[in-house]
Amino acid sequence: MSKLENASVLAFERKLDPSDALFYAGQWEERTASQRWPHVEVREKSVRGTISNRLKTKGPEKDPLKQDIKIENPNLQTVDVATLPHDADTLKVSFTLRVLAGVGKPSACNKADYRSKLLQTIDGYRQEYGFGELARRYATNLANGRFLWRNRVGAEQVEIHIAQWQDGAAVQSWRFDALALSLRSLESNEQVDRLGALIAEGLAGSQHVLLHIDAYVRSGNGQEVFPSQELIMDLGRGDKSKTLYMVQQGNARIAAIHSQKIGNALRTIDTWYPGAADNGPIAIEPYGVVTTQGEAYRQPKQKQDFYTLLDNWVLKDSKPDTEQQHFVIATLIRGGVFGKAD
Amino acid sequence: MTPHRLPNINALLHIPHLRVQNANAISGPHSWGHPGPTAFTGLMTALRRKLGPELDLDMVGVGIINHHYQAQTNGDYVQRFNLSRNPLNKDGSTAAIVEEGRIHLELSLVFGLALGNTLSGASQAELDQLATRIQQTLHTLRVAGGSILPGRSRLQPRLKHLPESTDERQDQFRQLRRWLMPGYALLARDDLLPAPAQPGEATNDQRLDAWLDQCRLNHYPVADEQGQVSWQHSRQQGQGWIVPLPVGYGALTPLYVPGSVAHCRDETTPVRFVESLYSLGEWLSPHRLTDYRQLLWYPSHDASSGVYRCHNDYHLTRATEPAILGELA
Repeated sequence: MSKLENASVLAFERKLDPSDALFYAGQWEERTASQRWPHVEVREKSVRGTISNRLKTKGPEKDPLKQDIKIENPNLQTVDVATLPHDADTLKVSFTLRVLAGVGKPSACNKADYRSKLLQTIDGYRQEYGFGELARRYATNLANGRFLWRNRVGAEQVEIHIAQWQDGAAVQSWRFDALALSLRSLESNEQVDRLGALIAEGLAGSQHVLLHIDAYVRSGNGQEVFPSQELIMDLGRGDKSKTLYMVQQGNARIAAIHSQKIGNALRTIDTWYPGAADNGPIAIEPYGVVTTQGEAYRQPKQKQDFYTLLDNWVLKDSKPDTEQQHFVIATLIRGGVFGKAD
Repeated sequence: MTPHRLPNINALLHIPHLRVQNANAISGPHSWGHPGPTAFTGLMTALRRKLGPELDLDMVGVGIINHHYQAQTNGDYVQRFNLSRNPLNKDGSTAAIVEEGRIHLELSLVFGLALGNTLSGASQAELDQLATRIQQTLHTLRVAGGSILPGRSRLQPRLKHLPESTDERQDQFRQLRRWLMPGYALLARDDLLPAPAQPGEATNDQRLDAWLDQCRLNHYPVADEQGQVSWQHSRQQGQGWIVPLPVGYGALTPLYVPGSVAHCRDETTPVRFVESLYSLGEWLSPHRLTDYRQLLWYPSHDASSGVYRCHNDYHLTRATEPAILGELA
């Protein structure tokens, strides 16, 4: 048999498929009857700001006279903003999560022998560990409300309601006090374990899993809430300098968090990288990158990145440590294009 | 090329109100907006494969009805795509931003099915069961790259035999139409382009010009008898919602044997390089349709010319309705 080679086309679909998370507002006491809560609008506001950025100290603009003129001028800008209305103290963040089966099965792979070896490898992992450990960690990130991002910071109370839906009806449900669970340690309890077991079944394909998640964040009347911001290139002069994401449903324009951002929070389970003790869990990424920190924690030279681990495992039959096996499988659940060009 | 007609079908499957998130909005090299018909015939093929070969049915055509869309763009006159940031490079530096277009859709799909012998005699209860199974499978697939969201629609998928008699078929279609509204169905309007140049005639420049005219809005001055000039644009009211549409692919190379071209998706399928084919489409409210054949898109392929394209019989049946209604497709 010839030596096994990497496939030049290798792609995996994501197996945790979240929807956009939509924002609604209401009263904390009425959170059990929240179906009719009004949505949170994104509005535009114009502000008269100051010029407060660090000035250039080189070139023609270092002339102090010119600088004086500039910083005395007001800085006019138009931005988007979303807030709770003044008669509501609670933000409801609502999304669905679909768990798809077929972990490790590539959606495209152009080497038949590589494909069968890969499937065999992943089958070995599944028989040894199952998806329990990963699923429990995903469940923790649902329960601790990490997907709320900045909305979780400074909240008085956060309650997460999760329900499994089948044929348009809830079949079982959970309720979590998110602030009681730490973001750093990914600790779990009996409730979280039960939710994790369900997600594991979904990943293994023994059951179709669809979760509805409603998070209630009590943050105070009229407080600002934080939907995703849009990335827009080539802004012209006078264009809005901050655009927030909203989903149109009928005539409603509902403030929302991008599904990608929800997905990133849910897969923030990597505590197996060098430096995890100080930094806490990071999102599963092939190179362990954290955009907000501008850092890659799994650089190829440390031999702890996804590609090195996968190649060792599949091509060279040298099994990584248990933790790194979890990481490789979690990367496959995340999905992506992992082919190797010549 | 021989004219195409929709192959025989004997059942219609209506999948109501699918909500699709982040579908690909760049349908071809020259147009953006709604995904083209190839995205949906591709979905049909993927669905058929996923259902498995043991299921005794054939999926022939797909009707595309859009109820609502939200293109992920920004700007009022010049539209820019809202982009997404990629993960950092392996050394922690910022990765390049790749432009991609995304759109949220709310769609209804109508599949034309050819049921095999065992299924063609099935009871309505069995068909309902099958419809639910197909919908569940569909929910695990992607539509033009976008994820399907669990819907809020109270409507159930419906799978119905096509009745024998013309009158009953019309009744059935009339009922189906009601479920598809309000919305717009995507139909082919190949007839709006000038006829292709015959061998011996000069070129096809005219066709390209006609197509380009539909891709843009031309403003031109019109002077009346007093010499007063007013500006008009090239699309007056009542001409319909005509859009440029990539409808398929034309071969650029011969068909290569499987595995002979590097970096293909798999090693078992023959490969050929293609370019997009363009035509025109129209968004039309379903109440203007009289027959399911006007709705359905179906793929065809011509080995001799290397043309892989999608067809829709709207313009063939439109001119002669209702006389053609009695004729079998």
